[in-house]
Amino acid sequence: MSSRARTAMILVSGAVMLVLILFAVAGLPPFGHYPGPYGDVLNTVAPHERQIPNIVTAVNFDYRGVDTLGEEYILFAAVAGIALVLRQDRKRTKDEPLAPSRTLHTTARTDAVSAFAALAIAVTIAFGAYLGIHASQTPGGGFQGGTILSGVGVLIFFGLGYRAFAKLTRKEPLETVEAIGAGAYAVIGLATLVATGAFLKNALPLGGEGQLFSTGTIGVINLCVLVEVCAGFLLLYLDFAHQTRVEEPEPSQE
Amino acid sequence: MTEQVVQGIALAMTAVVATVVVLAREPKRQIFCFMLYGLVLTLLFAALQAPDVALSELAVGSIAIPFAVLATLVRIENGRR
Amino acid sequence: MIGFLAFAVAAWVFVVGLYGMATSRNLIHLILCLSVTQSSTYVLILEVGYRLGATAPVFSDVLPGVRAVDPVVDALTLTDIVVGATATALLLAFALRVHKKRQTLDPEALRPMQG
Repeated sequence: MSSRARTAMILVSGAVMLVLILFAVAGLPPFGHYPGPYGDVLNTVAPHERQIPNIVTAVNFDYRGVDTLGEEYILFAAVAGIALVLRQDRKRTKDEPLAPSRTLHTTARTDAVSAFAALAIAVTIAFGAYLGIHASQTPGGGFQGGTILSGVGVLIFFGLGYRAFAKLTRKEPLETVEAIGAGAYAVIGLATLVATGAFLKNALPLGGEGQLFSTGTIGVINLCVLVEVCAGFLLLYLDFAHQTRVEEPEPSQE
Repeated sequence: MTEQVVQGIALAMTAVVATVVVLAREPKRQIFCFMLYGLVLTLLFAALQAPDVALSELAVGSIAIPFAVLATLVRIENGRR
Repeated sequence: MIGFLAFAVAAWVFVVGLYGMATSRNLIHLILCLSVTQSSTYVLILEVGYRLGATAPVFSDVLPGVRAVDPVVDALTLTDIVVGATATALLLAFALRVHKKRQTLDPEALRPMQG
């Protein structure tokens, strides 16, 4: 099918689909009038039952904890898939950067970039750790804090160079840390299954209102997710950063 | 009333910037439009009273995706020589 | 007043992303259009859970019992965004691999080989 025919077809079918979707969303409750009882029940019950101000974290790690377990394993599988696809020729890679080509202009790293990166690394570590640990008190959590903490790796790559980045984030310890983070979630679930008879039911004592460690298993699971997301993203950056290095020519029988 | 105005502006900007992202055919140009789209989405999520989601989109759209796309573009540009 | 505009924006972003995917000449452009389409679903589901005049479902400075938006859709969306970004990175790795093998990123030129 030629390109013009395909463009015409997508324009027509896109218009039809737009009309159909608009027709479908017109049947929803009007915007701003959320009717459902589930959210209201959670907002009323959860602050007292779990001693947690941030209801979104409670939904993520307690009321729908199994969903988050599945999502975390999707992340794990995707990072493993990236490692599988991009590491086939790792042993034939050198450490030098790619040579500048006709369309790829490279300049030397200036001092301003290195200085800014050094400052930004300190701020990023503090902010990412704060956001990741205070999941139950303020908006935040393992996913957000883990992603921001992994930004430290990107700052090191841009500000201090590939060699510093590769020396700091070696493959084997990172993979071990990521596996520990992912496995600890399931282990906690099994432990609570043994202790209380339900998977991921809270088995630790609850503290008073507004304290950092007053929410039982939610805090522990949140730390596992923080570790796993940070390590997973650092492995992802390592694989992609390796693509910017020179590769020796592949053998001819491939 | 003002929150409706803010939401209206954020929604209009979302629609416009999404169209710009799709119409920017060259990946080197599109990645910057995509980072702008991440910022506009963060504002929209904050206007819809969802701060957790806004933090998540900000972290992902400014750190993870641009780095992956830029590394891919560097590799592809060099291989095309 | 902005009720239908909100849902219309989500539908428009979805269809625009589909159009970009169908008429793309570059695999990386296609992957970023897929990401745009995914983001339209986040916008739609957050709009379903929104309540006029309500605050965020975090009760650290307001008392529980104040009108708040739905926390369930917040929780679903925030994990979805992070995981969707990882899946996008996986697609970019595949695009890199395709470029190494076939030296091109044009979907028109990447038809399956015959025979």
